[in-house]
Amino acid sequence: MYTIAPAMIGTLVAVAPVAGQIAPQGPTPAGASQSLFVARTILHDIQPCANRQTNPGPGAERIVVTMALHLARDGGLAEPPRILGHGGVNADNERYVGQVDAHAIASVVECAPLRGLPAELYDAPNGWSHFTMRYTLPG
Amino acid sequence: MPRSLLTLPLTLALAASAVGAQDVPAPAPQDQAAPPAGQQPAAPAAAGQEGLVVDVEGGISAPMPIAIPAMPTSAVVQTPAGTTDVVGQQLSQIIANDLRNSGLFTPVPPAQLRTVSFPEVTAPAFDYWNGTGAQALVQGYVRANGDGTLTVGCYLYDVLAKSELARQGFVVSPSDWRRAAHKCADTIYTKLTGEGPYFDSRVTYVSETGPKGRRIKRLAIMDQDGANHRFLTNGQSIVLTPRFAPNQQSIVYMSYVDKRPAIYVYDIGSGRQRLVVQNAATTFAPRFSPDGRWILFSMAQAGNTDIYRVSSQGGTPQRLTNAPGIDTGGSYSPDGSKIVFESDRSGGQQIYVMNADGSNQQRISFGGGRYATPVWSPRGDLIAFTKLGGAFRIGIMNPSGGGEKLLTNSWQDEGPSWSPNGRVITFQRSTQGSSGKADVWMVDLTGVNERRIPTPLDGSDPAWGPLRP
Repeated sequence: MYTIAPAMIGTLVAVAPVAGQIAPQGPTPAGASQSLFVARTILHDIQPCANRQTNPGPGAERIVVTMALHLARDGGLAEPPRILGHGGVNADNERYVGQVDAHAIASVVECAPLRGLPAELYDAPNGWSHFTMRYTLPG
Repeated sequence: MPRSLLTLPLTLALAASAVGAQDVPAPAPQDQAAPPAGQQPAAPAAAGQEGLVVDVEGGISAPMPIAIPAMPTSAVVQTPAGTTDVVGQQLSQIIANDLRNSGLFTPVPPAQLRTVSFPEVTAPAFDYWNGTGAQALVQGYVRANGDGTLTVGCYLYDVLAKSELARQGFVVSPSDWRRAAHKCADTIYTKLTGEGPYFDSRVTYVSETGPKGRRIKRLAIMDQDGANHRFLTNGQSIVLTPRFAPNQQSIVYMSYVDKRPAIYVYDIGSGRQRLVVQNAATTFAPRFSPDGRWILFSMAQAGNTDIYRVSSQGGTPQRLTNAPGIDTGGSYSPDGSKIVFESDRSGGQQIYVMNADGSNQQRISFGGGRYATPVWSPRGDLIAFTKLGGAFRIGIMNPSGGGEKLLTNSWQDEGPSWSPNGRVITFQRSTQGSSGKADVWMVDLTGVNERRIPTPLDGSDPAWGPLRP
């Protein structure tokens, strides 16, 4: 048997970031309940995509990926997610860090744009224009 | 923004983003801020000085819905494999079975599949497939060539993004038509999961029949899905522990020819076998080195069993261990630099690692119970073993020791052997009771996806071969 035609010529293009127009508005800090609402809304939107990820191997569930996210006003990504750091990495699972990073990023990118976020809290202190996401796989 | 539901390709495409992100100066270390796995707060929000923090736990890992309609043909032609239209139907069924058996995909039920015309192969009806719930679509075609071969085309599409993800074509002799389906399934699996391929591979094992104590044991070989099964030996001599050569052209095993246990190499092409070690002592537990130049084996002499290596062409064995007790079950690391083996030198069977020349022997298993039959993963990252306690269970651990995880929980599971991509393990499962019945099973690294491989008779001691070229 031999192979014909070039393999895997199809590619899935990475989602292009949307350049969000960030209007300088007078910020009102989000209260604790508002932040909770925003966080729940974000989680609601991201979780379906996070659910589809697979554990790449033993010990990967101990890795915690911390990532910075910057959203545009329409809930889309204003720039690609940025990995800030990792927790729970040891000699046993460090080979899976790259795969867990990719899972964390895909969880957000695949479910963006995020919907239902309150416009008035976009660029408020503790608002949702910039936030931190911590991602893990189940043990 | 396109909203593709093909998770893993997007994951792979975006991996570069993550790498690029490393160039950005990282803020303070996050270890302290990050909660331990499994201890995320129920309320996912925090709004402290560092701003909004959202904790996400992923990985529920629902299988991906995938549509695999029958492959059309450009013209219905009779071939030794059957008519090309029937071959097209069978190809798609084999691909669906491979992907379903991986545990990562759910093929769309046949009732929801529509007939695909030949021109439609490269112009899918995405809206229809979207309505079936499929996230990915596999289409292809079969064509009989003038020289007697078959061409099988294989296309993978992202249904939601309405885009092509991969395509590959295979030219096969009619006798190899099933391999084209396995190659297509490997293309899809690799593209969507990022893991290496393994469907186009074979398993050798010991086929057993007859009452316990008088079992007839024959060497057998089959595709990893149980198809193309054939017996290699006639059962006149008991055979044990078959292992593929890296080039897949031969199998090394132990046989009781003339009631004396010794190591033989069976040439699959010619059907001939030859004795490897000319020695009066009992030799057993053979295994090839990754480059095929050496055969590791155990030899019992004067009440002591040690591990030796000998050229795969025969010759004088070289002794690698010399500790009192039983050293056996040697298995090379993928780069050939180290050997993992079991030894009872500490009082009970435990796992040890040594350099390929026998130096620097170090114990790596320290859990309760005993450990046997260690096998190094082809990826090099794990060692599979049999854990001996009240029951026999298949487990994995790191080559440096630690990270132990048991994958099965039956009465007697033993003798693990890795798939070519290091994601799946085949093993022998024995039935509790006096029947002595055993079967060939597989389990993946999650320990969740476990299944029996169909064999004509009972089966024991399976060994997975390399990916076929």
